[in-house]
Amino acid sequence: MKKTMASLLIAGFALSAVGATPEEDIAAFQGYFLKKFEGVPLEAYNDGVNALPQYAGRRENWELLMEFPPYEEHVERGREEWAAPFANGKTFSDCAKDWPPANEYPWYDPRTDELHTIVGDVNACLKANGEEPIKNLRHGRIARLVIAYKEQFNGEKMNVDVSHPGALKWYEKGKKFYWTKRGQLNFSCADCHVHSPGGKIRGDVLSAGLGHTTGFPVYRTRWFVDSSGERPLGTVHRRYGGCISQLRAAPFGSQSPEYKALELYEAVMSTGIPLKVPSQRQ
Amino acid sequence: MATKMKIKTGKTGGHDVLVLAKHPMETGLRKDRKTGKPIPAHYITTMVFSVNGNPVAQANLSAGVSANPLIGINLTDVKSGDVVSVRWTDNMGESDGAEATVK
Repeated sequence: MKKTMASLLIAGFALSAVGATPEEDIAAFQGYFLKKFEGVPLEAYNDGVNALPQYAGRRENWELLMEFPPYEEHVERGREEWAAPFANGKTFSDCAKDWPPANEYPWYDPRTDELHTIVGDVNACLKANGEEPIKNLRHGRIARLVIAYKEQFNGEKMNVDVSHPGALKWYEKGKKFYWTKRGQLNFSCADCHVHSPGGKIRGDVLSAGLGHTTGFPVYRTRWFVDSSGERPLGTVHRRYGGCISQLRAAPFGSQSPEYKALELYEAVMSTGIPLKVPSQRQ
Repeated sequence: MATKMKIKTGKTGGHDVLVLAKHPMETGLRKDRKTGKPIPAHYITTMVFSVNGNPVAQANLSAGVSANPLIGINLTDVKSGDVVSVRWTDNMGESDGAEATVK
């Protein structure tokens, strides 16, 4: 027992080692999960908690739900919104010509030292074309538009470039955020999603930290129920907000530098996992 | 109110017929949050499955069933080309259905 405790501590330390390169981090992070959940291939982690053996008892229920995915109507609506021309006759597709593929998001622009998310680029596109930017960056139209862009790259493997020193700074910020304890409960992201995935959190099973961003924006059943069916979709930053509130910490705003850095860290950790947008989550 | 149907080969034999009916399934006990007025009961009462026009199964639903119910039956004696159809009616007399052909 003492020995396992010690090795656990070492594993925890190695996973968050200071000064490690992103490549070393990816190898340690992914290796940890592939060993912890033997038999779950890397590609399967885009199914979130549904991929874990601890969820097997409920997997059939999820598969049945996927026969008629509840997000279909929202996806269709998003496609229409994506194709609808602006007042100047241009569409989102004209903007998206200059965007990297969705599996390379978030991307770093060295000219402005800015980290770009799809949400940010959608709003920048609206602004550039003289349209009103979307104010609500958590659910609804923005989530549908992000789905409309990301779903074009479904199956493409996550491949985010953090080789630029500026990008690396964002990456380190996200990594620090992920491993920092916060809130009254004094939990870090890693406490639940690295050290305890597959374990129970009340009636639910904790998801693995690996592959977290690959399915977002998601249709979340909890959100559907809580909003009486009005706001079932959410961006990854909406989820971060919920997560951090549950630690009894003050959440940051959507598209805040903290969440963007966290999104980058999670995206880099998911390198090699195919996109699957949208997804359904509990 | 749309109804969708899917026929799959059953895991334990036969064919699984899955039906998703888009329906509010109101119990009649809820109140409108804004106006405070009760929302009238509105739920599916019967759902009839037919093979080539002959009824083979009937489900009697009530207010206890969730919104947008997913109902499935297993048919053991259908062959390729058979047409499976479903028809539901609710307590307000509304009705809808769907059909699919066994592959």
